[in-house]
Amino acid sequence: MIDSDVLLKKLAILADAAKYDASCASSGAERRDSSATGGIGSTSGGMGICHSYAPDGRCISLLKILLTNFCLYECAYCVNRTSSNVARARFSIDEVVTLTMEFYKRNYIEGLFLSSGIIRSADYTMEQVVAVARKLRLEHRFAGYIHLKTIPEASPELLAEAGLYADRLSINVELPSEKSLNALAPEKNARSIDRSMQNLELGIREYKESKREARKQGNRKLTLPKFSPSGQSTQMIVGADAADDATILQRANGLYKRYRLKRVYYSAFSPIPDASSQLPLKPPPLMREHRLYQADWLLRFYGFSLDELTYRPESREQTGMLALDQDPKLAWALAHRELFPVDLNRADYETILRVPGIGVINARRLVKQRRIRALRFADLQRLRLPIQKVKSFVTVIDHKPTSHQLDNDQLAARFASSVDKQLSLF
Amino acid sequence: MHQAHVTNFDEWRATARNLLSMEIAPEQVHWDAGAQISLWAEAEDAVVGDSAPSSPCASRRTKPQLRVPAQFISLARAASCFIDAKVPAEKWSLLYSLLWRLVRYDRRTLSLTTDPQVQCLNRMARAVSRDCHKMKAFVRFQRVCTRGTPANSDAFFTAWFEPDHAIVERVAPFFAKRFAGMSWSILTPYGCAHWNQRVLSLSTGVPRPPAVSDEYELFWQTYYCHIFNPARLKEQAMQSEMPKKYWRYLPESVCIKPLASGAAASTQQMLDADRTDPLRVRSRSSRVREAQDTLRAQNRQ
Repeated sequence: MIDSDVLLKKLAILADAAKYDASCASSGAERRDSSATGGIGSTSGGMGICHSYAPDGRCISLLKILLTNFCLYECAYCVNRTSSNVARARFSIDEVVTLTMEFYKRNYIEGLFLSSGIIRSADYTMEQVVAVARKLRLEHRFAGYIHLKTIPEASPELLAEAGLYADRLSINVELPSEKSLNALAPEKNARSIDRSMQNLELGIREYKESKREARKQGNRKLTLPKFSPSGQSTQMIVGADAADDATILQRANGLYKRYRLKRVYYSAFSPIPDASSQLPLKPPPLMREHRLYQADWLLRFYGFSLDELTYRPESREQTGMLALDQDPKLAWALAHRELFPVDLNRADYETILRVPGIGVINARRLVKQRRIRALRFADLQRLRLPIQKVKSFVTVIDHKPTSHQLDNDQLAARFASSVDKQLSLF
Repeated sequence: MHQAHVTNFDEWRATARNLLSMEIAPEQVHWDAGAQISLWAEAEDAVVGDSAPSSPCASRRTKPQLRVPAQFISLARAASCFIDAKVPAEKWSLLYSLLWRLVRYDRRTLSLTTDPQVQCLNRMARAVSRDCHKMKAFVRFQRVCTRGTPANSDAFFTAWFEPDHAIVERVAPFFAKRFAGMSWSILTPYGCAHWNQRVLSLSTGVPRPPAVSDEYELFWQTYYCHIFNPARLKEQAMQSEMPKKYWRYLPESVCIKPLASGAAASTQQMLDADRTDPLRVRSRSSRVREAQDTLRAQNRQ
């Protein structure tokens, strides 16, 4: 029997301890459900489901908690570091299993995101985390989503077992450089973080390849045991060290390329209760975080390269920082006005993607439409493109921006002010 | 003028086939929509619309092979759940107009992404898909306490929801596959879905939610309050994804106002509070110091 009062207190403490991890995604899972097993749970395939939103605008998809917030590490930015005065608690394995199952049955969540402070040793802690997932999967036939935070120093056998039950594994790189990590998180080891990410990548790749091979040969026995089928992700804290945006994006880009991460999460360093005297506290740089996500998208889905991102549009020079008053695509376009206007009836898809105000979906729609009939200005209006933004950068049959429009020095200022108004909403 | 009365997608499809085989242009059909009925409950009654032209006429000529892009069928199925109280039959006439254009004029019609009719179809299908997505997200089950039930064995769950469109039938299989090992009912004003761990069934709608309370709502509210970071208050972002109209289903919504109004003060408190010495525990506990020193030494190697 569970003591409700005690469990409520633990839940409050261990949710408080987990909230600074940005990830809460349940997307891109391998499709499965419980119709064959009679158990509980399913994954929704491509798009995840957000069952609620906190007043901070963040999706609540998973029960995101720490198994315990006792921790031996002294990471200056972390609310759970050894020296912090916050209240401490530890869930039993059964308590996490019960909360997950009961929340899931009420359709509050898509699954569990379990992390933990490091107690005793890396292996001991990881063993506890794995035990929760094992119990959910094997004893309760739980088929919902499970994301486990992996401790990089834990043994490969434990990671392999974690991969068997988890949809996604993640290791936080925390800070963009080894130097910052040494200074702010002296117990963390940049090399073992890298090594473990590499191991995860290998495990994920081997599993995926075996699945492909099994399908090709029509022999299911060739599929290796599951290994983190939704891949791995990581998180970087923004604003706790002096790293500029270019450094952060470079690190992210390297991680995407080397370890094929599904996502790099950027987490604006936020004031925490009982902060360390090592760090100056300021309100979190939310706009900077937002711009990093936009730049990250441009890198992954829009064909931009690293050196195209950190422009100051006024000076048309590169700096290490993304402009705060303009999105990175607009900043790039304003610094490269000679490439515009783009003729939407002739330009290739990749070029259309570079027009400020046109995203992946509308770029596809435009290309599809023009195969049948040439594009006119009314088409842009019907697609509900942000006309004020788009019209300076594109040509269609019945619309050509006047050349002085693009040369106008006021152009940047016009966009900057309109963006500013939106900013105040946050 | 031809009258066509349909209440669901399969009826529309049968009627539309008939009309098309007789080469009746969209302008010559008056579509009329009855209350949306379910195919499961009324499978036997599903007939071609009342005043639809009878078959002898159609059988006189050889029926042309109707081939439309699969994409049209899936969009049309979705759009057929769309409810527009002002013009309930508009979806049926739109679907027939598009079918007419696809079959008689241009199979690529759906690629005209800025065509008003194509846009209208896409908008309806998107609205329905969004409604389904929100229902999957915001349905909240409550455990019905049946007397003398030990633990979970015979637990029964119930939920109340009011979708914008006629989607209960479309979404119910999702819940059956997800909550296979649990008995539940989802009640809505337009139809209810029931799962007894074996079969999924539908019944007519009910006017109001059942009065149930569930002890886990307190746990969920506690979680909701403590996963929120007051230093990042963004109420607009929350509301654009979770509009107020859904709040009445969500036990956590009672927490939103107090959290939002207290956010500025608690952030300021964090910013103003005294900082803690990073050596606080290290200097007192030799166990902690040794553990940390061992790790730090390894990192320097």
